[in-house]
Amino acid sequence: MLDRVLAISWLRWRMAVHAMRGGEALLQFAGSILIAVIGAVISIGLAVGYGAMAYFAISSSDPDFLRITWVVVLFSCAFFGLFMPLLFTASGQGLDLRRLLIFPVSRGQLYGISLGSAFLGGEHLFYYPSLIAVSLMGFVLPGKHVIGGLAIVLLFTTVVVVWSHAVMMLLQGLMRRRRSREVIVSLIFLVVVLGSLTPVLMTPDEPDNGSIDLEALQDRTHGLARVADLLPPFIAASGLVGLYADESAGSWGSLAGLLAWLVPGLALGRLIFTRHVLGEGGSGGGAPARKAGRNSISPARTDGFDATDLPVFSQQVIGVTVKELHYLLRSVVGRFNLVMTPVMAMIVVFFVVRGLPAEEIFGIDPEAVALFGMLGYMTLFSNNFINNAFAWEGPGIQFYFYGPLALEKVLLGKNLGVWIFTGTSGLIAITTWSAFKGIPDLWTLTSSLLTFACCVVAFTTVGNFNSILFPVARDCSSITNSPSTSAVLIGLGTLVIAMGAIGGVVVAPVALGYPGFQPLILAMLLGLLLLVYGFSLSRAAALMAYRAEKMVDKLRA
Amino acid sequence: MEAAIETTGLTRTFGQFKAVDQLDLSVAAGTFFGFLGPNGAGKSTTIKMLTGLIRISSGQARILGRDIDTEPTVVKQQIGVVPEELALFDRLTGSEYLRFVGRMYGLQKNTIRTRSVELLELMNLHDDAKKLIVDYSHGMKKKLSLAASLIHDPKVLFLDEPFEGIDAVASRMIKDLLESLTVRGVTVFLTSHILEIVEKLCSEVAVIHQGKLVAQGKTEELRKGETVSSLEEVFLDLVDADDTSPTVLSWLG
Repeated sequence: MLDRVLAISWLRWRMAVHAMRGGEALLQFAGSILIAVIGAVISIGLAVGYGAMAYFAISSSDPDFLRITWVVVLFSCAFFGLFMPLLFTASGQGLDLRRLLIFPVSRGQLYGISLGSAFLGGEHLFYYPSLIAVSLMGFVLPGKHVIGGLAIVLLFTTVVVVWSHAVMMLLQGLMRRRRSREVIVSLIFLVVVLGSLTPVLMTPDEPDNGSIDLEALQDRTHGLARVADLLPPFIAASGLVGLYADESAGSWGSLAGLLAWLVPGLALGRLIFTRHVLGEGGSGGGAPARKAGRNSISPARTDGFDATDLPVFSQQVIGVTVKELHYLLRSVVGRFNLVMTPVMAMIVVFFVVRGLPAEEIFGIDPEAVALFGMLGYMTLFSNNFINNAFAWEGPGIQFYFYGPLALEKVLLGKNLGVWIFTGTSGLIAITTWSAFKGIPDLWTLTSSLLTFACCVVAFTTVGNFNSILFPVARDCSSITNSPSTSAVLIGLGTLVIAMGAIGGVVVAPVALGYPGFQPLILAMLLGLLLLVYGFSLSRAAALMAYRAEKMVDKLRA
Repeated sequence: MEAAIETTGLTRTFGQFKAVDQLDLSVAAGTFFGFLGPNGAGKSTTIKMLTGLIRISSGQARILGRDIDTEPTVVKQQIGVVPEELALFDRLTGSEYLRFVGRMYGLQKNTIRTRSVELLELMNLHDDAKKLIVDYSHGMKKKLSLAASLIHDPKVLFLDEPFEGIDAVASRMIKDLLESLTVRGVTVFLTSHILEIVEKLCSEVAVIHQGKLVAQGKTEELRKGETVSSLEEVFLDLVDADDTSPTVLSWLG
């Protein structure tokens, strides 16, 4: 059994190593190391903090402080154990254990192997130091209640791992089907959106000083607290507090409570695992056999087409644009952007604008600055589509190379699609803003829209080269659609330069006492950027033709 | 008869490796042409060069008298392609994909609409026309890809393993369709591992081995030139793979 657990660990390791092969291996490796180091620092920092908290709680001998300490520590560990795998699952990572079924391993063994390797998952390794620290400070070093304490902590950890494993398997099974995957990802997004709006929803009548009526809040959440007492972190915390009060009944009750979670967790995990392994259907829903259709097609027709006569906005360009819009509207990230746009606008209206100073900023009305900033920020929403424009093409990318169309038209069509989509987001943002703050005056509105357009055109010009040089295949129905690390770095550089230059153009006319020139200069800047964009298209197309094989190789996955 | 496909010294290298080496090939218009070879022989690389998917290292390839390297758009307008890895956009529906491809070939809206309906009907995909391609089975994807390759009425059709992974019903339908196309003067250039199909369908075959052309001619002539009777045996002989008796792995079984 152990050799198989090790073999699977090795397999995961090799998969991770191979994922870092290729031209960007060094950057990817550096990124992974960076993430691991950051994770380790946070993990150890938390452990030190929690350890200190446990030390002070025991020194104080205050049962309430003790209970709060254990609840906070154990609850956060359970949160990390359950929440982090959710993120990994949503991003489509992980090893498909069904592939191991061809080997001589029973399903029971496979479940054991799967569960065993879950204990070594990064999401759980993240909070182990915290548990070790509080155990050391709480009962190992003081030399009190060591066995009882360790038993509760170990059982609690097992419960968290078992349930996290079961939930993750359930999600992985569901996410293998495209529709359920999109529903789940949308639900996760909905939770994020609702979470970001919680302060607004919880305190509708909140006075401007930001104070919250804690008693009222406690009243509202009292029922919730009683349910929470039945959850593993609270059960384990009660048991540990009981140890210090020398209440063995409480500790035994805690162990029994945790076992009551563990047993169904194991049963459920095994059930999900079996279904997850056995539940895969047939070949994917091929159409039922029908009578053979007509074995002929209409006589050939000639349309007198000459590809070289096509105008710039040919139906080829429009065809690519329409295809691009279909993709954007069917992608989880695209839909998410449309949902998040009014949310972002509301956050700006309710939180950012409220905190702005009363005086003008560089001679500009603070609310106008917030509007400029909001629209500038909105362009970042489209960064994934701009800097990794071919992410969703898959093997379809081949069509652009064997189809009878100039690659300039492919790029232009794709860019137009993103511009229409981003423009729609901008209009939604302005509409939301107007609903709460009133319609901005004409000059402000014109200038902010021009700023928005300048940002988008500048980002797209660079984004085309990024997309061709650093293409990364992505799943349309996944949350994570980020470009490659190199593209992100170049995109950030562009962002800094563009924002600086465009910000200067926004501020300069006002600062020099000619505010009326602001939209005019922005319009000129937009014209210049469009010229540069137009000039860059042929260069980008030539680069795309040159890198055709590499793009097909990278994107067909 | 004018050659629909003609290559002279066609070569493609990947680093030091010559995937296709000095390939001289001539395919007359209206021919059902089978391009055979073992795995890694250079079949797909050749098709990719002929369809402009990858660059030619040296040599020349002319389709319907036009050079693919110097007049790619003109050539591509007259060819249809079903690549080995189907070039489908899986987040479009079947009918949207055909509309997209029709637009790319510059067809009029009405023409696209009519042909899409006819092609979907022909391929038995009309009931699934509104489904996203990602939800299609492999066979359905293959049929859709074939439909897309036909929508602009190509004069030359390149098919890379068109019969791989599809059921007998679809296979029969595709065979009948391809035969009817060659009767109308369309040149079909296909690669396949299924020699029985090639033998039955193709009037002419060529065999490539380790990047070099080792035989080309009428299917009947190739068979008559040998003392053996089936194309499979001719093929195995040409690629030096006739001795298939298991003399090793004595421990097996």
